[in-house]
Amino acid sequence: MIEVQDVSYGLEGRSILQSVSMNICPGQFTVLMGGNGAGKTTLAKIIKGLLVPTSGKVLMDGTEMAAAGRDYQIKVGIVFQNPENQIVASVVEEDVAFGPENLGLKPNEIRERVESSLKTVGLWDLRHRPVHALSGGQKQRLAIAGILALRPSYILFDEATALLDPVGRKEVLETATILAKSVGVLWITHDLREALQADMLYALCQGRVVFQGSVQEFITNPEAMDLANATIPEEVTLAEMLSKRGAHVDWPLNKENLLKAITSLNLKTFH
Amino acid sequence: MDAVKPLSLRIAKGEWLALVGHTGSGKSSLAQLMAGLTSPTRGTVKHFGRVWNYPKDLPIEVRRRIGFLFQFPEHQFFAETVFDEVAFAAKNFGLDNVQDRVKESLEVAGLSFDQFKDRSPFTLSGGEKRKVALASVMVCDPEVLILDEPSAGLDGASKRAFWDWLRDYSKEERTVIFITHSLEEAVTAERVLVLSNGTLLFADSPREVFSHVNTLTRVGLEPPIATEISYELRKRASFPMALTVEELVSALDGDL
Ligand SMILES: Nc1ncnc2c1ncn2[C@@H]1O[C@H](COP(=O)(O)OP(=O)(O)OP(=O)(O)O)[C@@H](O)[C@H]1O
Ligand SMILES: Nc1ncnc2c1ncn2[C@@H]1O[C@H](COP(=O)(O)OP(=O)(O)OP(=O)(O)O)[C@@H](O)[C@H]1O
Ligand SMILES: [Mg+2]
Ligand SMILES: [Mg+2]
Repeated sequence: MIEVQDVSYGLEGRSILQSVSMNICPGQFTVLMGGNGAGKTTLAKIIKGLLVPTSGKVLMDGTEMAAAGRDYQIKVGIVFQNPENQIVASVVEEDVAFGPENLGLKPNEIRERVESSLKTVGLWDLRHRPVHALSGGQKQRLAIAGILALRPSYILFDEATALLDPVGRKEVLETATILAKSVGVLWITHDLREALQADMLYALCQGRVVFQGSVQEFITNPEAMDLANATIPEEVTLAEMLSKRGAHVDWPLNKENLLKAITSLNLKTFH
Repeated sequence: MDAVKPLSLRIAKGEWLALVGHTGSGKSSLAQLMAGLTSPTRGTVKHFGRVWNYPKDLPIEVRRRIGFLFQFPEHQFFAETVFDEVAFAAKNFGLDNVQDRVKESLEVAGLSFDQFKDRSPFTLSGGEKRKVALASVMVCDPEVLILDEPSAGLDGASKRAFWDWLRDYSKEERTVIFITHSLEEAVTAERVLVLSNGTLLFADSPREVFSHVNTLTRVGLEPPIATEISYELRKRASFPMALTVEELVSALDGDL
């Protein structure tokens, strides 16, 4: 488990994070929300060990990050908000091989990891393509493949789906959900729809944790939603309107469950 | 391989247009062609009724009439401060009241002028970068606005504010073309262009385009939840097509 304990961070006299505490557990999907500039990326960078907190500490399985050193670093992968910050090589497959090569793995193992990671994100067919000839969404998938190839124990996804199409979004979210059965996933997003399956949700506002709890609690807490600059997804609005009309709506709020709720209403048309 | 296959398209002054399609379908490529930032391998692009010698020679007075927002904000950043970044185009095009313009466009983009003017654009948060990029496009008040995924990375409240503002902006005879992955955002457009593998599949009103739920799903798009549900209901009985939750619920209410 990663424990963030009372972490604060300041820059140029400005406080960016204030007394933040949070846990990321293996086998759990933890969501982090919050408005633009709330401090989400900064927190993720601290958890990855790229920034040092002004005060407070980060522990993994009880050992402080600083003491664990490289062992800690290797176990935590981060997918950046801007995939271009993460892409290092000029050809797709070379980029994915870069991380495993740095870990000093054997060529066979590297090849196997490159293939499985590229297949997971649907880029295997483009493995020989120059990176500059990828579209925005393809770059984002490449960045994810690069992290998967490192097989970390924790993965921090910083708005990893922001440039993907709906199908790509679903695929990446599904991949992350499957990963979260064994590894610890921290999922940063502005889209509550991607949070509907979270085990735990945290919301930041101006560097402070303003909410911690289940997704259901969050969306029925207008004050927390407001502080996190979050908006209600259409699925939730529809579910609320159906409930008001006497329908019972099961979670998760997907097309199937919403349709079931609608057909349970006494509609004339369907008699 | 062509990122965009042969297509013909005419966009009228004052149109409000959404450009959608799966990852790699050619949206950014088409948008850059429209903006005159790249030139077509074959065929021609006319701006304001005529062919200019773009991209190098698209004359300055034509360029200033077209604002373009890149998919990656960093692609357009170069200055040391947010102020210089946003002011650049205004100065370059010789506009007056630069300070006021910068201030206004930053506030429109949702950033406080005093808090951000001296910051480096490169150390901003993801959403703040997008907002600065938007402000630096808006500062010239272009009559044609081409936006590549303008709402990506904006938080929920900022998104809402941005769309409200853009709708108002477009009302004054300005042409707005925006790329999005959200068909919920595309619903508001007058015309929706759907690209798939570089081919233009549809260029029609949202109501017409969204009625092709199967085709849209097949090419990697996801119609709004209300549209998908009304589509399922229509399979069983006559039921109107809904584009929004409000439309769906009022159709249901008429039926209760
Ligand atoms: N060098 C710096 N000097 C001053 N402020 C900074 C600096 N670097 C970052 N910040 C500020 O810290 C705040 C938190 O940034 P962070 O990137 O963590 O936000 P975020 O929650 O990830 O936002 P977004 O949703 O927009 O990605 C932002 O307001 C940002 O401008
Ligand atoms: N310089 C290039 N050389 C060769 N192919 C390219 C080049 N740039 C882009 N492509 C390819 O052209 C296709 C269209 O790319 P484009 O960036 O227009 O897609 P897009 O619809 O904007 O995708 P996204 O939603 O992911 O941003 C993609 O398959 C991309 O890989
Ligand atoms: Mg961020
Ligand atoms: Mg693009």
